[in-house]
Amino acid sequence: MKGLWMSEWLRLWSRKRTWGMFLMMPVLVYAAARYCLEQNGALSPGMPEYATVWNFPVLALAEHLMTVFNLLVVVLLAAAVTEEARSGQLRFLLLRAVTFAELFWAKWTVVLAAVGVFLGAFYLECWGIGWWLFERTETVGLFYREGAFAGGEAVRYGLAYYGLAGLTVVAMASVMLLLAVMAQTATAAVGMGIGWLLLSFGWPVAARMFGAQVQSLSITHIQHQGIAAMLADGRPMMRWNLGVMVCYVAVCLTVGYLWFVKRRGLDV
Amino acid sequence: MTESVLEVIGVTKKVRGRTLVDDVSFAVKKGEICGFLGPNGAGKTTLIRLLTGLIVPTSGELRIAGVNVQKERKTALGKIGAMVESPVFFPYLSGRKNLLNLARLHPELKGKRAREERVKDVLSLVGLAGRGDDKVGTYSLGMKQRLGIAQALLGRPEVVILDEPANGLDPLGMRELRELILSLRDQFGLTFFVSSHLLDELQQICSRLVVIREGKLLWQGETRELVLRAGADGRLEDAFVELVRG
Repeated sequence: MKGLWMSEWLRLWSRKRTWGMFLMMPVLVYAAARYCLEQNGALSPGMPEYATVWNFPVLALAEHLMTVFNLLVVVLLAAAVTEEARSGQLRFLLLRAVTFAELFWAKWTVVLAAVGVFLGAFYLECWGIGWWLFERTETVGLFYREGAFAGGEAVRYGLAYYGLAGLTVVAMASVMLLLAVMAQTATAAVGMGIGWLLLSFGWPVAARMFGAQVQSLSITHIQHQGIAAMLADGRPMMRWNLGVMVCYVAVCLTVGYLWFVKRRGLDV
Repeated sequence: MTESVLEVIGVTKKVRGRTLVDDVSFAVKKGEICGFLGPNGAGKTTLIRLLTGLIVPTSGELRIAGVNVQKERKTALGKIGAMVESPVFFPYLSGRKNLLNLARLHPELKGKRAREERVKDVLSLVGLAGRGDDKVGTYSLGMKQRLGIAQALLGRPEVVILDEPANGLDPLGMRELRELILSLRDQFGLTFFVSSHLLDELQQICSRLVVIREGKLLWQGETRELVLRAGADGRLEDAFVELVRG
């Protein structure tokens, strides 16, 4: 299994598009920094939206999480699952002492590990660019929390935010994995993934009258507002949002796994 | 008596009510080059996919070196090297890196040095040592076919299964492929099971043939037996046509 995992990992990082997306990260962080600097002009220090060195990693991620990281999983899974299965490349792997189940789990965990690397690099780049462009204030405001917080507390908050953001990406990736397994072509997988994202964006608007819990059935809504709500004083949405994400992962992975294994690696 | 290293015992494969392979049985002995023939749609690729564990039979049993492919898939596949349909490599990698990537799936090739040595050996065996560092996207069809055979040899298999290995090759490429198969059999005692439509090629390398039609076993035996049906200096093609037309 270790050999299979490494084989998948090395192949993923042998693709120009993976490196292209990875090298785009600092550009996106810089763009987010310029945007935050502009916004700071219209905000007072101490507001949660006011960017400082301490909260810039969270503000930048909030800016890019729904689009960049969700699209990242769409592209990575379409390439690793749909493209390889439909082109016949998976056959070369499956002609060896590798089971369909091992291949499924290797692909899933490799994509998650890659997203983890992207998220970690994004965090570090936020610190690098943030340190260069933003003030090192003594205190900072945090979303849905009373009072002002020292830098150390803001860093802990940021790490918790990144951890929960990572979980939302896992939930989104499980949906995208299911779509990648079902799709007939890589283009269809990307199209279905973008379609799902648009549906997810639209759901909170359509479900506005039913309240925050129903709106939070959309993963992008959790990414947009739910993470901050989960970290608010009293943690009001923590259980619900975690439950929603666990349900997405459990259902999509189970169906995706059965589809992949029963169809023998998509009819290799 | 020479042992059978590839056994197909009463194998049937049905898909959505359609019978693709119907109660087929045959065996291939160690060191043989066995040709596998049949008209289009006869079920050749289906049977090869069954042999390589890519799909499972509805009934019957397939064994490689005595190991049941369904019950002990991993062990059985460890004894096979195969090229099923056209080889589709990862085009963004060089030939050598494609093989190194696949070599990671062979547990017996432990460590970077062992993998690199083995890849160097198989590239040299198939005559691609000088082009190993070029991207596969730049390879000709013949080179891709040879790389396909190289990947099949990575795990030092006992049986090599090739599905239409000469497809699209020019006469020189076919000749090189034929010589490669014969030399591998002679040097390493490998057993080959080769499906092809190019009957002249099969006639030159195969000592034994298995013929199927509409999923059923039509004939099996020594190549010369079948060729003799077409006369003393007959061609396999004539004998095959006569056999298939019934």
